[in-house]
Amino acid sequence: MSTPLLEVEDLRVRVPARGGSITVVDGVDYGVAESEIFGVAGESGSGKTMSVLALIGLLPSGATASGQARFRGLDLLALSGKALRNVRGGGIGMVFQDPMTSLHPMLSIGQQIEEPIRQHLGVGRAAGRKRAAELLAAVRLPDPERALRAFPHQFSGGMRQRVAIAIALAGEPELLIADEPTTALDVTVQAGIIRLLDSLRRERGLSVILITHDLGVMSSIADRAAVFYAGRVVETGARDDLLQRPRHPYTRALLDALPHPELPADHPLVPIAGAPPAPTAIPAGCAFHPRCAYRVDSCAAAVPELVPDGSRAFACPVDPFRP
Amino acid sequence: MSILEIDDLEVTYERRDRSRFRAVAGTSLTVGRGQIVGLVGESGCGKSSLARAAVGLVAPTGGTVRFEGRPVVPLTRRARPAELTRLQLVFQNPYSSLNPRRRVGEQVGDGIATGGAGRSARTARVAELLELVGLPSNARSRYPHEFSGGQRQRIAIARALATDPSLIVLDEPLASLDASAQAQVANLLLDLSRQLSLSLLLISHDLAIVHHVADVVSVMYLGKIVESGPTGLLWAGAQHPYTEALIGAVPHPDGSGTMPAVLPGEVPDPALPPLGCRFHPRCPHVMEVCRSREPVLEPVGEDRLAACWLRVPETGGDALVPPASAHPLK
Amino acid sequence: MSEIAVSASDRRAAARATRPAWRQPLAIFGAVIAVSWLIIAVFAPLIAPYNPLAQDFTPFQAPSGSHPFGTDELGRDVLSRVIFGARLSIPLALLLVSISATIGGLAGAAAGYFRGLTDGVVMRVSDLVFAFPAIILAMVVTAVLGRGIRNAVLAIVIVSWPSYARVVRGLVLSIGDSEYVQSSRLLGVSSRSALFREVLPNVAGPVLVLATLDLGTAILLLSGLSFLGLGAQPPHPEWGAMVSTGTQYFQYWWMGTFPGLAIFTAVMAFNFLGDSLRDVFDPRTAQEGRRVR
Repeated sequence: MSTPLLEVEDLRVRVPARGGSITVVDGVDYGVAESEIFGVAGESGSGKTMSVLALIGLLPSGATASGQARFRGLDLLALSGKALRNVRGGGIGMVFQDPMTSLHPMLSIGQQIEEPIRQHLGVGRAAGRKRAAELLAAVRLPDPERALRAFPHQFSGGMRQRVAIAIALAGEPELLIADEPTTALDVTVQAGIIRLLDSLRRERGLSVILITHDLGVMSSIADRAAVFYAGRVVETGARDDLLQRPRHPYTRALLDALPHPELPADHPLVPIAGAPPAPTAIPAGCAFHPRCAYRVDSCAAAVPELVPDGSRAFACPVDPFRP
Repeated sequence: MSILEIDDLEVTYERRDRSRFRAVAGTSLTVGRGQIVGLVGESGCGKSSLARAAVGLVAPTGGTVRFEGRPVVPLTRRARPAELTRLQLVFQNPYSSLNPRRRVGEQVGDGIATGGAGRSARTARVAELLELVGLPSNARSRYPHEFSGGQRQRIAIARALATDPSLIVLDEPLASLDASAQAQVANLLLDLSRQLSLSLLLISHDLAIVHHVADVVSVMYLGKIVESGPTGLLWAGAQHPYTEALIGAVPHPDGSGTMPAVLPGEVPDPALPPLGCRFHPRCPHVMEVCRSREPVLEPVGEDRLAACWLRVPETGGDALVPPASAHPLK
Repeated sequence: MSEIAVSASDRRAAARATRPAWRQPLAIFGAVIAVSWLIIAVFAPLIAPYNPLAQDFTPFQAPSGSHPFGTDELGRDVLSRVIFGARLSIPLALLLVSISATIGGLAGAAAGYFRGLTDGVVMRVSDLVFAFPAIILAMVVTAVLGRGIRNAVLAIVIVSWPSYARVVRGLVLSIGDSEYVQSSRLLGVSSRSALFREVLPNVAGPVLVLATLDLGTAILLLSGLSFLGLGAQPPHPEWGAMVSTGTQYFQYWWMGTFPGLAIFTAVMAFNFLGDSLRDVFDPRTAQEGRRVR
């Protein structure tokens, strides 16, 4: 792996709840390199969103984060105030799921992009406007000059998401966190956003943490990925290793539960029995073991460690898919 | 005999500024006994409006809908005639389609015909319905919020089964669910259809799931059906460029890093559909005739229909673009 | 190892915020006071030291051991009068609110269910009532009908019912359009059955909240009318009337202050109670704890 841009070590996030707090991210390790698209896959409630919110200090009030998150040597979790604001937007940008609500409805597109440009790059209005138009062109928005004067409601979902990406890139960050950026979009529009993220990676050396529950999306552009379950990382690895030769039963089960239209229609869809556990009721030992077809008694005894195996790692001592 | 026959249906809405637009602009569709028909399309294609009109929640402004030979009459204040209750609908969002203040058992039992059924017969039937969808019978005394999304959707399905329907329309039933729940509910629908000879009209934007579940697929664009045919054949060789684009845009979770194909352009405003073929501004194979004349849905093979000038010998003959080739397999 | 420091007070605040609505401090406080007044109203004859109408004592006595609230201009014990004032105001307010809620609820339900002309009529009449400040309209009604408690009650009912109508109408319309009601209808349930089975149970909560908050308003309006001489007539020990008399005898501060405090605490208590009831019924805050993403 080339120079790590971001290294997350033993990240834990706790949120307040009745009678104490709940651990929603329970000791997560992963690394993102330069110019790399890193996929984070998992179902809802797996902690994938909380883990990135911790990186840029956007956790809900009362929540605490511990561990280390080194971004270019800087410990993100120790930042606050001005330093944090600089990183947020200047070093790390973020795009959220719903483009309908993530843009300010009353400000023009130009105003929304120029604000972070001026804040992070310290340029004047004219230069700011010019850069804003360049950014809109970079996200392939047709007629950038006109778009600057327009308002969010005049755009479709796909275009709004491009605008959101442009805003996130305004401070020239090296890392973009995209939390389910295509989930609310039609599949043909999603294809465009996927290609856009890929071209941004190639043209600008941008790294992306791409959070998604859709393994197909992850498969299209991620270089490497991590699979989350119940607040922990259960497997990481290169995209092809992970999706073609998964070693963790949950990853395997996820793939089996997906329809594969490239395969014949009677290829079985194998659901995973049960449902992902609520953060308040995480099973002892390996969180997945109650739903796992390969479990043994020792699975309930201890939380499995993420064990490296070459360029990949997985947390399953049983290792049923050993080659 | 077809269970459901939709003929040249039109559904018109009025916007806030009083402009009117046809969400469904003349579509025809049939569903046979025990058949699972998938209706796919993206935002703005009118599939939800079609679902609502098919079931009678919305009055059509043109065309007809017939269920088991009888016309589907839109809901009035009176109770729905018993024969029409054999046509049911399951909504997309399991969080809003169940009353949060009523017990599950009560809601599932709403459709059980009261005629002569005593209390215990009712209870037994509710238990039967819950079991049919894979839920424990003690679910009856609990409230919806105690269940997960996937389980709630199963409750909604159980409720629809209470009237012993011959066809259920499902409007994006899996969209709000997790991967695990999606697979469970998809399989449940398949099982129910086979077990009960139940017809399903499955509306979805998720082509992969439709590919798995449906026998026949119809593709909708901007208020009209552009293609329909048996699922396997459609996937192997689409006859309409939009279908081809749609299939090509679905990313595969195969680890190959292949990016999905992009369909340029945007879906036009349904109030201002393009002249001629509605898809022509975005079509990679557009011809002169496409810009001025609207193609009609016509047979293009065994049980297959397509509305495209490329497939009509007179206009497509010379250009002779071969039917879209099989989606490249890895 | 770094940890984002969270102060102890933040932790306490977070813990407080996630407690269910009925355990919030204000709610408990409100409930205690409201219940106290109810008890006082019910057991007034047993609690009050003297007959509220008995003019047996020296007038204008300051608060003392035998008369904790002093005596008024006619030599009556103020404490007893305040206690019996509760026996007047609280049950009247309860009666008032029940009648308003019933009339308003029925009107609103009819408006939402039948729509069309019925809806139009109900809403326009409501608008008419809303156009006037409550106390002014109530004054007009009592002026027309004559003074006295009965007419005061009638006036306040006239002024209060539209709020309920509006709330119930809104609920009937929105729930009526909900997916679960649509499902019911498709299953063969008649519109009327759906109204009773699906809609009305959901209406009870908000109406209860409104009624509880309205209790405070009712007490205030009743006192207000009596203060102006339009409601309870002498010698009834009504709080508002007592405050009114108190303003004429400012130097004998206890005559107006204690009834005034009674009004204040009773209205405040019902307001707190109503607020916390509102949280109880709000489906989001009603669930234990917060949801975690």
